[in-house]
Amino acid sequence: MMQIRDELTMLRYRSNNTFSCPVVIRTPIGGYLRGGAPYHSQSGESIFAHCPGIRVVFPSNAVDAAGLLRTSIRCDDPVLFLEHKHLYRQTYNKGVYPGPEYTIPMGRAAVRRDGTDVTVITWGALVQRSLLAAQQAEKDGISVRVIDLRTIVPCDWDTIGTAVRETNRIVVAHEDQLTAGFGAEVAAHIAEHYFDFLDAPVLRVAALDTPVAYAPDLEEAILPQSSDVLAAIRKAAAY
Amino acid sequence: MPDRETLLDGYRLMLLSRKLDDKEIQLKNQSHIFFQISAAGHEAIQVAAAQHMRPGIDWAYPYYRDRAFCLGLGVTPLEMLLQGVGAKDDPASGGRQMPSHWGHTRWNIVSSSSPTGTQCLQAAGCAEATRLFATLPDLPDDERDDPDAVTYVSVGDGTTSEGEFWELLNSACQLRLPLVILVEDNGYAISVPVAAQTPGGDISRLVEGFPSLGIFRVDGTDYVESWQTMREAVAYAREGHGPAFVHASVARLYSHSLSDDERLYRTAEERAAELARDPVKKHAAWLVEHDIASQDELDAIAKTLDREVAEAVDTALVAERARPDTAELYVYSPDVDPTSDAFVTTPETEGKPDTMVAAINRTLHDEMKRNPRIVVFGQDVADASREDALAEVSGKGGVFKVTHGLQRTFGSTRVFNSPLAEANIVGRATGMATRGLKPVVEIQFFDYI
Repeated sequence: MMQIRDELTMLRYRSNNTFSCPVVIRTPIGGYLRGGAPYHSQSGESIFAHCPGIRVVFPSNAVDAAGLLRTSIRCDDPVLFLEHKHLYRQTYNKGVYPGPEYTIPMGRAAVRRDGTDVTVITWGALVQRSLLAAQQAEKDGISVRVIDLRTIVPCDWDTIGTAVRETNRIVVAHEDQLTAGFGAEVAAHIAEHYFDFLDAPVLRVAALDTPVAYAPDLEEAILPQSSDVLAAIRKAAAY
Repeated sequence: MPDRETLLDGYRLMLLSRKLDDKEIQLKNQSHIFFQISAAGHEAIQVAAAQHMRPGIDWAYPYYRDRAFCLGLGVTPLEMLLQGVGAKDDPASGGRQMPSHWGHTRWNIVSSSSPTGTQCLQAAGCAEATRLFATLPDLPDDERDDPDAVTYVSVGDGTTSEGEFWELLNSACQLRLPLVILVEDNGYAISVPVAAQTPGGDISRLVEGFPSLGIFRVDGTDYVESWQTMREAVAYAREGHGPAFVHASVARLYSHSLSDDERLYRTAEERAAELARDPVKKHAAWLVEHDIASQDELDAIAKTLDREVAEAVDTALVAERARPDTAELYVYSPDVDPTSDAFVTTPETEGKPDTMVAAINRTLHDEMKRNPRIVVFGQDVADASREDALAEVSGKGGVFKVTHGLQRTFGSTRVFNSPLAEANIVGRATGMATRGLKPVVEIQFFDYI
């Protein structure tokens, strides 16, 4: 932690751009493993969003992982490349290998599903859970947009801003704990810049403020599920 | 034995360091600078170390007491004072770091920080980079650095209690890295004496079991002895025997820093005994006693240095300070913008859909093929550390098999296992990346960062 927080992220800044260390750190992250328990299930991307100098990348599917990893390697900054363990081998996020020159710029969210009533801003393992919730909501007549941030630092504030202006109701859904999760930053940003466009409070869906416990029933209670996202979508729509 | 010129230059550098410390203390008391930490009592071993380095070819990770060492490599008094006042032209940090947080591209002094011990693993990575530049396949010859460069890293006795110091020894000895590790043991970590934190009170005894570690003990307040010892130690590392470990007993003549008052925890008697070990005075006496220089000649050196320091102070005090509108510069690279349209591409769409783990694995293969400077390491990322097993086994390639096949394809120089130590992985990668390599490392679980 100290090597990342005090060294890797700061070398360029503290040396006034005379030294740099553009390392890519790949690391498996996240839960939903059944039995991952407190030390194989953690999220925590917001910790590093608070460390200026490192990019924080969090792909949700195969094609984004390829494109963003290549950008991470070819860019000149330290990158924390977060690979969700649960997403490694799913079928729903498979993709055709996009080729040896395929890159995706950082700071560009992807709209996974368009909609007009409510927007869910999400990333990582919650992308699929939010899409499932959006399908359910559609049955209730709620049109839901789902935005996959893809990179936490830099964050695509433009796509978020457009969504607030166009749908006026926002749910932020992430796997990390609620308190001081990156969703708090998103909610604060929206409140500060788009207050007049909001028709409902920004709602957050996140893990409980606890470690991730081992027993499957406990894990399920702790980590956010599709049903939690759906409940938030309904609440936002009904407000 | 050093020649006359070396002996006198050694004296000049030691005295210059002391004069700068004393001047900075004065400037701090006048609120012209905002922090001061001194090298007083450490000068002899530091100058001796610098005199055996090749400035700008060898690499250095000094710690905050290494003023005399940095002067010996070529940093000027003015450059040091520019950092003290927070000047925009401070070459170490542009006014962003406390004084004595060294850094200078011309002399290969890598920017240093305040948390003690972090420099250890970066220095290991830097020394490793020296070897990698010589051995990486497919690297054009004109991109290979000097294969004989050594990397210097220094710590105080207090830092030998940090875990990263031991992680350094672990990797340095396991890989027989060309490192010169200098422990400047002044007996105190701020107010905590060595006996209260080092079992047995003698760090060089504790490290005796490390294979390939060349251990050198020296009175670091004795310039001539220090010069001879550093010569042997640097040669040991440069000739490839392994890391050299120099345990130098030095004196701490002043408090830890100007934020500390040692009278609160050291007796008058102890402080008086420490002053008797003043390396600058001892070397002056030695030079006169051995007819190397007369007292008049030494006085003339002192006078010249006084003038040099005074001029540097005058310049530093009026130097332009770092401007507030530059505060946000260089958090990230000004050269490559990963958010830009340059990274917008069209994907190829032929083939069968595959998993995220396959996509990452293939991207790593393609990027390693494209860029010979990429090295991949971390715990369990190699297929098999014992290469001869690869004929028979399919290979581990990471606990999630994300790096599977990389070692088999690109070889063990570029893809290798690290010790089970997260700081080791990140610190070494940082040192390598500083040298221009591209480490893509794995931490096995986010939970262990």
